[in-house]
Amino acid sequence: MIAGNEEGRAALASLFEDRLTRAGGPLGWRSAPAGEVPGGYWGRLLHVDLARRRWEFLPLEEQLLRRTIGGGSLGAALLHRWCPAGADPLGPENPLLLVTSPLLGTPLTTTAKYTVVTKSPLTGFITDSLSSSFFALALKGCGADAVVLTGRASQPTWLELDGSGVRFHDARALWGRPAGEAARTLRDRLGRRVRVAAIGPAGERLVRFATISNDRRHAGRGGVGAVMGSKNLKAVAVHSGPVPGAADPQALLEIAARVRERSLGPATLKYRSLGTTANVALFNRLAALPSYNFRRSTFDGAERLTGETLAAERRVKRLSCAGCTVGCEHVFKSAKTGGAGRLEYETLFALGPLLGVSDPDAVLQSAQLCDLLGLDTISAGGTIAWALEAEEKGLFARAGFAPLQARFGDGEGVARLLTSIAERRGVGDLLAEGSLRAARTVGGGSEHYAMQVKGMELPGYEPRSLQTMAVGLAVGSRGACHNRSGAYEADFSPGVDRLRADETRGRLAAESEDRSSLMDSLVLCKFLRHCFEDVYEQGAEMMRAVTGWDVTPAELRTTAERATSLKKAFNLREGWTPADDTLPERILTESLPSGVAAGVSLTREDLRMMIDAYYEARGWAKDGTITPATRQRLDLAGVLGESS
Amino acid sequence: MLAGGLSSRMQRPKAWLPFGGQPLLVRVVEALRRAFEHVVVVGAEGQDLPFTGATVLRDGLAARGPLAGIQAALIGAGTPAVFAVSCDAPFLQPALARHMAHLAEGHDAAVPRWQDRLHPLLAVYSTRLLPAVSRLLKEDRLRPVFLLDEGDVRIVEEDEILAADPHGLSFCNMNSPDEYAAAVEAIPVRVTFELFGPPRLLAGGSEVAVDVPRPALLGSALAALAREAPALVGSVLDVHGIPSPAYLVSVNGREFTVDRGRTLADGDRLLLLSASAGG
Ligand code: SF4
Repeated sequence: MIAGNEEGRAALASLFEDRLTRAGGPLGWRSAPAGEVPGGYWGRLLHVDLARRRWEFLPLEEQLLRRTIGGGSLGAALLHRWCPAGADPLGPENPLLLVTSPLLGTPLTTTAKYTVVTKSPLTGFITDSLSSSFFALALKGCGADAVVLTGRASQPTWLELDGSGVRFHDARALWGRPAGEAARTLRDRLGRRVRVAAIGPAGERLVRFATISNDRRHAGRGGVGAVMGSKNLKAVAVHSGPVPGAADPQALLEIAARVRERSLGPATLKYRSLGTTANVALFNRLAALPSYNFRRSTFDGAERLTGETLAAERRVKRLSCAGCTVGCEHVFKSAKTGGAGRLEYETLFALGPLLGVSDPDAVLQSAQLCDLLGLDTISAGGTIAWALEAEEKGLFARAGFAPLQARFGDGEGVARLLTSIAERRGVGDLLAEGSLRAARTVGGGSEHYAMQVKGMELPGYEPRSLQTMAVGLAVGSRGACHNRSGAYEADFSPGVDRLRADETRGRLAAESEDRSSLMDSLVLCKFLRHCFEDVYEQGAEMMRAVTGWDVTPAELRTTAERATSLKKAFNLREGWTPADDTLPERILTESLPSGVAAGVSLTREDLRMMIDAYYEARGWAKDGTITPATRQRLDLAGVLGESS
Repeated sequence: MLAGGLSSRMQRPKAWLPFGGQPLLVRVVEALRRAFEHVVVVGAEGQDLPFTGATVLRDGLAARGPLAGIQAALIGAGTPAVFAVSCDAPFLQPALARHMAHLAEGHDAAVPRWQDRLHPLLAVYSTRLLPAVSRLLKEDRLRPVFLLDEGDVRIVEEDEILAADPHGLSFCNMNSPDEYAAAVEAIPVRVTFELFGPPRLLAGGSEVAVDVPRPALLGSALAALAREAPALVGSVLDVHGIPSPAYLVSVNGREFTVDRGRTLADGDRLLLLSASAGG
């Protein structure tokens, strides 16, 4: 263990120098690592205790790294170890983990992502949020595979990290400012090679769906920004530094060139030409575009919000994340303000059709507000959609709240609510708690249309018309999430009737979740998924070149499967029950009224049947707990650091 | 679109013959619209025509036959050349019409030779032929085929026709009740592709209707799409209409398929979408 504080820096720096030399200098990935640490890793984590203003490097066992790879999977194992059972998500004992992965920092396209893992204040379960950025690249150079932040600083603080350790700074002057502004201030002060992750006003005020922002992007879901805020931590600034080397740089370069070429081919044309905004027109046609708080799955005003229309009328430019050859970010200008902002499908859905808003300028305005305030657009839209319906039904007044002064289709009203949420002002204080908690407070049966799973608001995939995805959304460890479950891919496949339930969906949902888990561990952007014939095969090839381990596709399949069980193990410890794996009442009791899915429904029994099949495919017990045999097969005890 | 004239053998005006749920004239004008920006209908004075939305020109010389119609079109259309077709070509393929217009460039006319016969009522004529048309009318030489001796005519041969209309559907015409009945029987299946994402951007439109001969297979429909929307060839489809693995088709928004042998029904809507549907 290398313990440290401000005084210990010099001694540590010399030790660190040695490691940097071994890692091969500024372009570390070019050289084979020496010694016992596998390529692509530092073999240690950096623990920062915000309360005591101390930090230390702690070793990470090679076996843990190999069995989890990195990202969300390594994060799940570390969270299990670092978070005391029953911890208050917004209490000092809940750790906030910033986790890297072995492919990060290599020349492989789309790998510049880090993962924020913590116990979610929205769900009370694990959340793992990925974000692409130059911050991720810088973080990889900070001398550790993961940063574990614990405790609560006594005053607003920002951290400065470089390869040799941590400095603690007073953040009072930054408090209250948007994340982007705080980042700019810190980069002006420390230099352009510094990259910053920061929270905005929503995170500071512990909005349960606040984000952490970095280079225009966000670690968005599950309220990671609120956890950072609860630690009185405004920002983490990292000096870019060398990263660990790869075991076989030549092989890695060849793979990287191949993947790069594919990333520019037909498999990613959709992302390059329209990004995920392309989903609006298609989902509307397929009756899979939730609108008016999931009362419908088509939207009359969709045409104005389709990627095709937006691209023709108001696209300004296309951008890409750090180190990405695809570039799926499309920037659109507002006809009203002249300003420009990024839009992707989830934001369009959540701030558009879900709220009955069809005016692209209003959606752009709301999206920009969410960016500025640091709000997860999906949960913000989902919570407001619930509120608009509760208001329609007169439930706010009945519960003694002031009128909402907003209604479906009212872009201005939505913008007002977003601001009041981030400021926790008036009814915003209630909505800042997310739809489930707010519904419990307001009562009157409003839980029926709080469109969430485990407290996390549903993304823009209508479960009744995507019935494989319905399973994925119901069982997701962090709640309803389209990033952890890609089961919609099965719904869009030949041979699957997406409008009906059957037992095969359990296995299909588990398989898609595994593929996502693998990509979220390595980490590779999921928009590359169609560039690989077999992501396990090609993932193993990448892992061999980077780490030097003799990784096989079969091993990666087990690793991917393990990732889901690791997250489940955490949730079980935190009180998960089978009742948590379900969908909102509305989905299970109301049929769809429009489009090609008119009259389609999903019954509780059908969902149950598919979830049972999913548990079976996972090797879990009928009640959704992990069987001893599966625990053993996946070596969960070893990975979680429990004595077996 | 030459709608004028009575069909003596048919015993009823061809323009109104019911075909695939609409008057024949409307059907052929729709096909022309898919090929050209500007469509005019030439009818006889006082002739009752179904509404097509296209400009109607009256030739006033109905009894003098199609040559007068061609004259009216060349004078009234306001374009340097016209593609003239009579309304008894129910399966006219827009891709062939476009192809012929392209081949006619630099010539006075372009006429297809199909099964050893020239088809002057499925042909392109330039306004340069106007003096010749007037002279022929004056001389009472009324058969349009005489026009083919009057200038530099590009003959479009069978192999060139097949590239745009592989089944020669455009040449199926009807001159008797029997031929009409047979044509109705053989109506190709009309399906409509709905384009999403990159296909929509490439094609510059969201829908493309195609006719597929029976038995109508998805593979034939895709091949027709490749002809109708050539901008898709390359990144979305190959020249034979085989989609890149990055794309798939949903039949009526319900079933997803890549099976080119799947049979289609009249009126099917085929959604062409990126296989990366979703996030
Ligand atoms: S494909 Fe899009 S989301 Fe993925 S890394 Fe590239 S720009 Fe970022």
